[in-house]
Amino acid sequence: MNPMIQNQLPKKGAKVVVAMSGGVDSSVAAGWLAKNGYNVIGISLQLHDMAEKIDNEFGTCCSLSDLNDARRVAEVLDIPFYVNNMETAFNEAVIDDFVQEYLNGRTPNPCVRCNEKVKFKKLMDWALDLGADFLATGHYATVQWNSNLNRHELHKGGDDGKDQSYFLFTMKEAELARTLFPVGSFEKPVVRALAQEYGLRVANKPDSQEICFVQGKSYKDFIEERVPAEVLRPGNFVNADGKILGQHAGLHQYTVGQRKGIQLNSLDPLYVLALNAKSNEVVVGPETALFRKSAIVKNVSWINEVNISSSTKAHAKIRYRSKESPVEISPIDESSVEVKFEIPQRAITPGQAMVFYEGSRTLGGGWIESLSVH
Amino acid sequence: MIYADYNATTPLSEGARNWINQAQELWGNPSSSHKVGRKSLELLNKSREAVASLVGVNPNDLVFTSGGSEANTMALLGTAFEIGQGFRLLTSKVEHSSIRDTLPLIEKLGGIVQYIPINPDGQICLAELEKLLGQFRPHLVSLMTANNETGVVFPIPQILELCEKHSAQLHTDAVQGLGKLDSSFYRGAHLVSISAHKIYGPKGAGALLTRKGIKLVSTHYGGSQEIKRRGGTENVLGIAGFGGAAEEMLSQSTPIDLKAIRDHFEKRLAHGLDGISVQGIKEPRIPNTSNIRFKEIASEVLLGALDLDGICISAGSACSSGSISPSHVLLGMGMSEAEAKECVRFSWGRSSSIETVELVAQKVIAHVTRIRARNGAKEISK
Repeated sequence: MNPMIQNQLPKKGAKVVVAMSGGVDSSVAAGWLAKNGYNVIGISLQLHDMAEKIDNEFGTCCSLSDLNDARRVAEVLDIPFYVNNMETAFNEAVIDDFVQEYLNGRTPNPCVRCNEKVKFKKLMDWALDLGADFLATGHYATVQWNSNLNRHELHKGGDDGKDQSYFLFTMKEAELARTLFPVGSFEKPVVRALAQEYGLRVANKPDSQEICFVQGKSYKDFIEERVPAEVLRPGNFVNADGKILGQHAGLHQYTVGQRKGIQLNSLDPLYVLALNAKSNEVVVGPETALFRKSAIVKNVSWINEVNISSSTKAHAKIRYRSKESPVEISPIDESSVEVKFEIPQRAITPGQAMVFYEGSRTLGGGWIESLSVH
Repeated sequence: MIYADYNATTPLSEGARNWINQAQELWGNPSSSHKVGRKSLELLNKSREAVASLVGVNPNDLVFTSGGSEANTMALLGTAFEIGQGFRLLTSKVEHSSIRDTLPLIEKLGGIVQYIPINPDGQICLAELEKLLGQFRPHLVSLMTANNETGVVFPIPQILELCEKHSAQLHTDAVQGLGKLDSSFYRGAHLVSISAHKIYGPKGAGALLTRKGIKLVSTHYGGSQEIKRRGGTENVLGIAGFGGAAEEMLSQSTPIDLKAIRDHFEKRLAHGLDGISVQGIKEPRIPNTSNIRFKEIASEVLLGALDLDGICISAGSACSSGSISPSHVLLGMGMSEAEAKECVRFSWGRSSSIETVELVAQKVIAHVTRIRARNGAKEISK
């Protein structure tokens, strides 16, 4: 079995830093590399103060017990293991942005930010400074060498239900050339079986479900701990025509498409259609109004292409768990595009990433700014 | 493998192993009055004598502890309980974390803590000390003999003289001084902490030396061991190892010239690299320690790169996750966090030689040069 069958497999003995979270995927990534003749160095990132979470046995990503799991895996695999404190970078690039986005009436995706600013930036730098040839992670995605075009491409993972290429759209070719996804083409049961085979105690550890830094509480509580109450002030529920329907408890409690938490007298169920940070209004309406065919996407980055100059056909995902759908992408300026869907999409949400595909290849993506007027 | 982290810990010496082997056969409780117990007690007393003679003190003035940290905590808390409310402690911000982390408890018990300023070379000013002794009138002054991270030595004899003039007691954490400095330099202090595993003894054994007549409230209860100053059945294995290590150190005829080795290392680096600085280089230092800042190089990276080459050094202090936090010692000397994160410590010992430091210097120069080149480091000023 060769997980990187479509990749140019690096030479045996290549020095690879593996980002180890203590979960089964990154543990097996490290294990596969170690068992296949690579010179593996394990590293865990300390992204926030963990001491308080020690009792959270088998908790989700980033807690101290996860770190101990990662350390135990490294011990079993007999590879060097380090813990790197990237709290400052994580706070600035991920947590501050996460909170600010909610205050802006948007729904952020911190995992993409973490990959972009921390893992494939700070950690990649660290790995290369250490003298490593590659950085490996446990993502379900593949890096493929296209020999016709002489380039590295990012493709979907082998497990349809687990594909994580969505979270990696900000990567560039140069980074892909230095990146390995050892479990990327496996299906999850194979990964768990390998964990058993390698004798790793995390083989049956549950997948992480939550965003690592808000585990065990709601986003609402997380934000309320960090933002003064006067900023999170109540405002109005309005309908699409601007008519005031009632009072909401703070913009940060809502996201587009949400039905819960809207206590208004209405015959038909009401859904959040939009959040207006300027007026502190939550726009609500019927579910049918959630279906839209176009959006403006900003800060677009392309993995292989420099830019697009004319309208391009592709497929797009509007959030991690949405199905991809055919689109036409039209450039607006250097870093913004308008995206038109053939099929209306439910709850296109500002702040979420829109990621473009051509077959299994990830073209790139950007951040949903607003719904366009079309 | 090249080990250059002797300030963290040292390997077991032959002497320590031999005495530990003896202790393995002598499993009796030293407090028992029967023969099996007496045999254990005999080894304990032999160890006490060996350690006492290494330091040059009366064996009765020595209280065995679980290590340097316990000795430090015992000195501070024991005095704080003795004095009670209003206990005044003068210390510094570069002390070992066992001192630093005891201070909140001292304050909670009604004590008052003041700090003597530390200059950028890691040194105190004696005139400043005298001023504080007069104004603050501390009951206890706690200042370390030699700093574990920079190696900088405080002038303990002069500090002691000033303390006595102002009727203050002096505690000194001499963990890094033991075996590296002549003991007459620090043993005169009223309370002295030492540890076995920095002198090629086992971890888990240390001692507090208490000058005759010094009153301390016990912080450990469980029996009349250590003349009721530290209750609990003694760690005979560890204490025997301490004794064996002390005896071996005392009988060493020609200890290696660590200063020559350390100085060669620092000279080689200064010759091969720009943008480096040695902390406390202008001050007296214990002969084995170099704390060096490499501009633009994260200490975690250099530590990792050297570890992968089989060279063991250290940086900062490990937090509960195992990641490295900037050293509070360097911050206490006025360094910024960013600067402190570029400092690593090399500490040499028995296995070191001119050849090993030469090899380490070459590796360090190669890594620093490579990393700076990769990052296109701008002009690095000397």
